[in-house]
Amino acid sequence: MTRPTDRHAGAGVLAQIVRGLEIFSSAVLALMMLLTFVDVVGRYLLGAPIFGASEMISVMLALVIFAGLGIANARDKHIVVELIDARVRAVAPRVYDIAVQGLSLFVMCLIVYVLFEAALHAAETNSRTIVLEWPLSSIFGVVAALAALSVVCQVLGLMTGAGRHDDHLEDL
Amino acid sequence: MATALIGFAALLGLCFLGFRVGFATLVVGFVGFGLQRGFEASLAMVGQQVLEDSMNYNLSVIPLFILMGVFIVHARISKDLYDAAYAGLGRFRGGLALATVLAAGGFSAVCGSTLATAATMAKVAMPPMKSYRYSDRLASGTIAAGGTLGIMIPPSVPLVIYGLIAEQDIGLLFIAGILPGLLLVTLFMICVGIVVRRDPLAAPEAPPLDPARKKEAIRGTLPVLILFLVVLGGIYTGAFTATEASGIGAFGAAVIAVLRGNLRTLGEWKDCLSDATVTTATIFIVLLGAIVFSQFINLSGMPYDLLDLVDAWELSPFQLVLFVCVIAILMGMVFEAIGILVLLVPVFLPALQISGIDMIWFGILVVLVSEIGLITPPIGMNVFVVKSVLPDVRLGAIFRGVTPYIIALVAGLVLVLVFPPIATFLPGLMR
Repeated sequence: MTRPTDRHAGAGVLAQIVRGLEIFSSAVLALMMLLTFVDVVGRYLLGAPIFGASEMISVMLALVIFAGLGIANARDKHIVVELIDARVRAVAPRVYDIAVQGLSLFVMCLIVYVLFEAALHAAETNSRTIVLEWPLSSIFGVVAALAALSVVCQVLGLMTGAGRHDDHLEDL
Repeated sequence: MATALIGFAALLGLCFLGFRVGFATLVVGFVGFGLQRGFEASLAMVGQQVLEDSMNYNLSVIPLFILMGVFIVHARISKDLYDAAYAGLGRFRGGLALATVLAAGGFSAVCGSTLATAATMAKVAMPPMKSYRYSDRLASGTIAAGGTLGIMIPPSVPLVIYGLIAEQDIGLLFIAGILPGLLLVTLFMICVGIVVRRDPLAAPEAPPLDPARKKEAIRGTLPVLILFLVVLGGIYTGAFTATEASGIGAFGAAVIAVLRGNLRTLGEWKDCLSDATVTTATIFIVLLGAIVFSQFINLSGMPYDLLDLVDAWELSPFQLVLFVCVIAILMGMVFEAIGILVLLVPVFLPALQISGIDMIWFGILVVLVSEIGLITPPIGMNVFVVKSVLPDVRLGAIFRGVTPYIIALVAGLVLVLVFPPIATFLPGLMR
């Protein structure tokens, strides 16, 4: 059982991480929008698109996804088929929550593992992006770190009850 | 085939039990692939797919169009859209309901979210319909159905996801969605006309809009119209790609919001951007899961076994499409659009391609089918959204209210099935 003091401390840490992720992902997404816009305007009005814009946008996309995943995991904002889940959960809520959240955690850990593996492999082979020649190990490393942070958010979210069971993103 | 069927059964079981769809799909794909090829190979496959797709330039269209929608919602433009639509349609019986359909279509064109369209229109259209004593059935049903237009009228996230799975051009898919979207708006309006003719009390007469307000509302909708024309026109003329269009759309939507007096503080910007980020992440986790799952399905050989079945049953291409649509309709009763696309398309892809089906046409069909699923029981998401915004209206009234629109959607589906040029004519001009 999580003690109330632990829960309080965990909630504080989680709030700070989520705030940081919100600011980071917001900045990256805003930059992504501006870059796409300026690239097109530059191409048509000035005859000079931004060099390597599409590569930068690709990297930003990964940053937005994995930073956003931290926030989504903390609040358990994932797509769920809500048909009989409430009735099943009512039978053994604790076992149910452990099973559902355990599987989510397992998948997130799997993603973190494959991303770190990719970062290590890129470091060994000194792989770089094609146009800008940015080191892929650093890019994959940052993405893997964000994914790892999203696992931390998920665990803290579970400990503090930040993700309410009835608050999922159902449709788009 | 048996391995894939077990995989599907496991996935459906996990989804029904309430496991997060994205995580469940990924884990079943990972385990299924691992059992066939070894877990080392499965880990390598997951790593490759996760990296490839989360850094896929073409997919940056998803966060940017979501952001465009969030900005448009934040610009509070829906009231102007609604009033402008009423200015044109107010003289007809059921004018407020007709305006709801038209405004929902217009809002969808720059928003792209069914949820946001249904929720926003519920807030904007319900009060006037209520004050002029429209029946709850007609009012709430029209709002819930109008919201479904969001996934057909471009920009549409489900069309992007279909494009990724079926390896189709996203720009072509967007352009292909225009005529079916307009067809559905027309069918919904005919629907309102029929309902009102059968039950005149459902829509008592309402006074025309004040001329000053009419002018103001039309002026207010102009920027949205221009933004839509720039985004879709740019894709259509080839001036820019779908990804570039999404960046321009998001930027334009932000400018509109600022000019309308919103997005004036950093907090507002952060709320919008962060909202779009979280939605993006949740979509991508489903997408990544789907791609891993489809690798497992491909490895199991199921798509090719289905191909043999199609041969054995001597199904014509049209019968095959019909068969897939029926399955999609059944799935739509439980799954939302992305779930249907993710589970259905990879399985039937080889059979459809070898049968020579136009995959742009099929994409429109499958998205149209998932549109039906948004308002059919037991899980009609748009119905639940309208219910949550309008708690006083009974759920049964909304479900009864959407029934004529379900018929209209099925009619639309039949029309697109029988006359494929409805979906393929505009993309054909671009090819």
